[in-house]
Amino acid sequence: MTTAVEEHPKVVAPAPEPSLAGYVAQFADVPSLLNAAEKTRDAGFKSFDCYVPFPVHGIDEAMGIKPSRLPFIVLGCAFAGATTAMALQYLTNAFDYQYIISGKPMFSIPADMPVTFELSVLFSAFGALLGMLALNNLPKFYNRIFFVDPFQKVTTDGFFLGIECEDPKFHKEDTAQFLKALNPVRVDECIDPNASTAFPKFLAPLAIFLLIVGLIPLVLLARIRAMPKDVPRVEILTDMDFQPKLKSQRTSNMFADGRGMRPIIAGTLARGDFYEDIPLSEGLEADASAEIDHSLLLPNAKNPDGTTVKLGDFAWVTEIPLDVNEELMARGEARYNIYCSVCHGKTGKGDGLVSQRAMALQKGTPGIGTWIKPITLYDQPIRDQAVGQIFNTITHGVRKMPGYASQIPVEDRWAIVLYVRALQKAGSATLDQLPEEEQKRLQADVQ
Amino acid sequence: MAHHGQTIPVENPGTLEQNVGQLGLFAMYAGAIGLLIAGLIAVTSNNWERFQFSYLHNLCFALSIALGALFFILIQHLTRAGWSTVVRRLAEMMTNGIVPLAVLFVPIVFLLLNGSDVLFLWNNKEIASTDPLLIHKQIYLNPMWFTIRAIVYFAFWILCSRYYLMTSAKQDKTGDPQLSLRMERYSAVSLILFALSITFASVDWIMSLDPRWFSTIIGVYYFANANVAFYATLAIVVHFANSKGMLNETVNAEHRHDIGKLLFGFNCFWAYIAFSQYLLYWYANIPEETVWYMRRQENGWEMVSLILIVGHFAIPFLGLMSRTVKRNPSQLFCWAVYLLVMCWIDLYWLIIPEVSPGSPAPGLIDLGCLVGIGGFFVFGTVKLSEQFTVLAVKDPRLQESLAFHNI
Amino acid sequence: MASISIDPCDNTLETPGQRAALVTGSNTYQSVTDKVCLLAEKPRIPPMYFVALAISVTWLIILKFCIIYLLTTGVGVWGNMSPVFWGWPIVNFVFWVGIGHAGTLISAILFLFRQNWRTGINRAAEAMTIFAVVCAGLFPGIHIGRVWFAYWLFPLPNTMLLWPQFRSPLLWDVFAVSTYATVSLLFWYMGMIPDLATFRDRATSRVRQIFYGVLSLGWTGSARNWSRYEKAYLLLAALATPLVLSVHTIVSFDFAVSQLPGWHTTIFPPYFVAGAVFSGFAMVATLLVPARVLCGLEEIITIRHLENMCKIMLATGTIVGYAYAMEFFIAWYGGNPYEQFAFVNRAFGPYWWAYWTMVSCNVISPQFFWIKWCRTTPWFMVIICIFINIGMWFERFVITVTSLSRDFLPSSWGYFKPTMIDVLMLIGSFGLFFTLFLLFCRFLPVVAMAEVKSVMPPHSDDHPERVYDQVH
Repeated sequence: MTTAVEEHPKVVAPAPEPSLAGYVAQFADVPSLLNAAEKTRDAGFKSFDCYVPFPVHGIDEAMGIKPSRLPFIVLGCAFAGATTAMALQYLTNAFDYQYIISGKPMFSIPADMPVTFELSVLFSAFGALLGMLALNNLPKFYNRIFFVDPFQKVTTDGFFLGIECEDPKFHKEDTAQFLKALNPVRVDECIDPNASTAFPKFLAPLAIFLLIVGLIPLVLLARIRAMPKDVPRVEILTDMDFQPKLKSQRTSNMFADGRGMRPIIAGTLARGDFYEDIPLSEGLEADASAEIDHSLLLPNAKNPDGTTVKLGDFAWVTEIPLDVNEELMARGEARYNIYCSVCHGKTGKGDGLVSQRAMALQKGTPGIGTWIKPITLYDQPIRDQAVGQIFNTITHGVRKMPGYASQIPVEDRWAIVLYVRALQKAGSATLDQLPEEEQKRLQADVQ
Repeated sequence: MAHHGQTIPVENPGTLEQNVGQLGLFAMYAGAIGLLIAGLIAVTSNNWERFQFSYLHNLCFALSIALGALFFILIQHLTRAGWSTVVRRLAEMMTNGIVPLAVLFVPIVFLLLNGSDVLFLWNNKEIASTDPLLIHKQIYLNPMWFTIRAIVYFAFWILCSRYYLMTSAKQDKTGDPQLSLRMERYSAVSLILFALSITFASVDWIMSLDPRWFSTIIGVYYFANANVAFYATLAIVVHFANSKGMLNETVNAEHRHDIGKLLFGFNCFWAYIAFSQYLLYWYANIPEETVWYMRRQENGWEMVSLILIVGHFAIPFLGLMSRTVKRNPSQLFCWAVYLLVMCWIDLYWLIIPEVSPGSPAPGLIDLGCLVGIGGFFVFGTVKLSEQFTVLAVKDPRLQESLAFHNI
Repeated sequence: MASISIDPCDNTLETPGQRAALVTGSNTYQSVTDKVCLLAEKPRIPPMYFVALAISVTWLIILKFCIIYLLTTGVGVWGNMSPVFWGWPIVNFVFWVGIGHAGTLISAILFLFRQNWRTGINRAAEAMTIFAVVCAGLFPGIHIGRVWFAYWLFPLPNTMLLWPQFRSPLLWDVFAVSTYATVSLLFWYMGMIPDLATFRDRATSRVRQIFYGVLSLGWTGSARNWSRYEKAYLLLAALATPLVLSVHTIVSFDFAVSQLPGWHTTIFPPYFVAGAVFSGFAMVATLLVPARVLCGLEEIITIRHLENMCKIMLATGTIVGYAYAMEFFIAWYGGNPYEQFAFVNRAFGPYWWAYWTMVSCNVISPQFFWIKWCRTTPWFMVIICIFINIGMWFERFVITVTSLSRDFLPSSWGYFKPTMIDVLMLIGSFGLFFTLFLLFCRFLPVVAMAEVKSVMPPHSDDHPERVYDQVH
């Protein structure tokens, strides 16, 4: 008698009692195995199986194996994959994060097809492999049939038929005789050593210990990255933080003048900056513009003789060179509130939030700031200015105020001028200039 | 794989004439009546345009079955296929249908040579010489060159299919395996010529109906459709043959299973090609390309497009997936008929919008042309195949085919 | 019929009605197993193996340094420039993905078509597929510049509340290639389970027994298990067949959904697939001709196998030629002057040399396979296959670079030149590929033994002597 116990003493752990688990018969070739399988099936055995090195045609019928349920599992997985893909694409692109791309609808079914197809196949493939393994009770590393000596030939050229002791028709002597009658090469007992299949006890603590030790470097790394520090951080991945490029207001020895920013080349003009209409684009009468040096229009400009330029002396335009209507006024109000009101205040009194904050900061510590409160727009000197000069102020700035030419287009600057005029009118109005209803309301308020 | 085991005896199932009797004659009468009715309606309703398009549509449809059969024969020889020997003769007979279709094509060429621009807008001299998209095409799209090409296509198809049928029939008598090798040897070159002929035929007869539109895949599209139509027809023919007690011993569930698989597979291939073309044009959204699809997405044609997506692909995809369906004679037959109808609708969708962009509704003219062309197609097929046995009785691979088992 | 064959291994002659033997010589189930396990179990490895491995690893190390240089310096080390923003990395990506198509084609499509000869070569081809996909994934992976953000390609919830753009073909690519890699891996592994069990059962050392024992999941060869296994194999084959088509189709969408002349044409999907199969088979043949000698598998991977591969190359090469011709025809027929220019420029523009290399390698060189001698002479085959691979690389180069270098605005036209890093990385990717393949040959079953046995006729030597005295 051959048993695994003698052959593989190392494999078998000290076990309580090895017991007979069944018989394994080896057959010479496929036809004799098929014949034996049919006879075993007809004898009414249920817990029996054939073991072959390659799929044998016709063995399913011979053994009475029913068709597998696997196709239905895979079909279910395919539907799950398709549904997941459609839901994913709908929820991300049509619902949560809408973004127009090449004019396509948010939920574009033709464009969704590739991913839907791929996920269906992916899910189904996992269903096919894992479903097959699950239905086959694999992985199963401990199997008593491995202890039968010639059984390792099953993966090379051995054809085996095994009947297990769990079968109700199994009988120690009769079954052995039955198998021998099937014309096998040999019949072996399958002895289950009943070895413990539990994992060794020390494995779990060891695994936890290794996990903790393995996490330490990661935790340290995370600490270095996340904790506040006074000195520059260690850059593990620089993330393009340091790039060989020129930033604004920085020096550079690449150019002769040492500047990183490049000045506009003389005689050039940006696209859209050219106006034939001088009064519109400069606020000056055309003849005057031709005569004067335009650098005199800049803030704090000096005459050649060192005296301060008197801007009021230039030939400014006195009428707004656009159609003055309510639309322009509304536009001016909007632009004024966006660009000017932060300093000048919504009414032009110079009480914008920026100004208030600057003044408040300067108050406690005199001498620290250089902020000058913006001039009230409806003061007489400003009211006396021609519209062209106000336009010039917006364009180039004055004193501390920067020019807004780069931010506000020409037409909008005129709209602001119009609105400033309206503010001036409002700011210097007398009671009798108001409509009668307003007069009455105000008088009622006073009383 | 070599089969060990005794030879399966084959009885000679007899010639087609012995099996089908008067089918050919009946088909001819049907064909004549069909075309006559369609013609009469066209005359009375003054709708010759529709008649011509419908005639072309049904001609292309019948042709697709015959060309699918020719491809089937060539590829079976090229790959030394064993399973298909029991049904290959049926395919060889189907290719005989190209002959009547060549005759039926003569009126189209005749009208074209006489300057008709009803079917082919490019034959309108004025448009062709002024439309900037057509001027340069005149050296390709002109009646004479078109006619020559059509003659070359038909000549090649007829010669090729006759060669394979006659050689195979010769083998019925001699059983010489060298003939199989010779057919195999010619099949590779024939396939190349087949690919070129079916491509340019579909460019000429389908794509040039809208001479401004173009797609590099049109040949493959028609080829895919032809394969679906052929396998559907083969399944139908096998079913009829079996129900008439013909080939009962030889064609069994295993062969039906394979025909079903190929039908299913080529139907998926058709969907793949159709989707590829649509997706690329839909995505790029270039007017000169999408105009062709726009015509098929408005005025009711969008319903036909949807029928194709759902009916031609989605439903048969799920329906034909099961092994049981493919092995069951009547279920496979139902699906084959269904898919053949879908193939007809597919060609309808390709051709008819060019004449009737306003409405997709088919009329009696279409039915008449279908019966007419189909009748003559069946008549020609049967008439020319009458003297041949319905089975390649001495093919060296017949035994393998008979003993064939799916995994 | 007259047979003049003297070589007993010649199974290339066809006798209609009989199927040629797919395993030549007097092999038994046992000897097939012995031969396949030879390299993995051999106490002494042939020196050629180490020479090949040393060369491959050298190139792998060069690749590694190139990648480190790229990551520390930036993608500017490549030759990509305006207007050719997709330079060699994309060319290499498409090239390698294409190579990766043959394996699954052999194991899935040829399985569905019952081409039994696939059993000799499918395992090696599947392995090659996976390694090629690894090489392919490398290039877009490092192309993104900051590889540590590669996970942004996938739809994962993130703090920026962004999602990937599912209407972009590049995202379809992410799904297609990763699905393809995963499914190929599953397919490959599942096919290997019975053969890993063979390795387990033949193991002489404890380490090997545990290693292959774990990998083979306790496979016993039970007929009930085989029944479900075969069903799963069939289902996976049926799934992998459209998948393999879809992958290169979607790669072709990367190009074809655009409006760029030369890219936007409807034949791209099937044409790319045919080209991929073409190049994949060429690579399988290039690898297997030396590998079958190195591993002593001449009787299992026979001349007939090689001849069949040549025929498939001839067929797919001709399909590719058909696509080239159709592109030209429709470019002329369509009447779009930009499209016409793109094609004339391909053939006669500054990249004419690339175009004609492509045509001569892809369309002309496979025509040699009409001649039987060329199909059955391994060394000649390898030469043609190398030409095909060169040609298929150039095809991707021609498509990508010629179209991009001629922008709609002539002022943006440019001429792409690769840098040394581009060249080294392409060669280095071959180092990665060959290293993986050589390791596979050494440690895993290179031939699907179980499948080969199922298509070989039973042999008298397989009947062991009967022993009746074992059971009381």
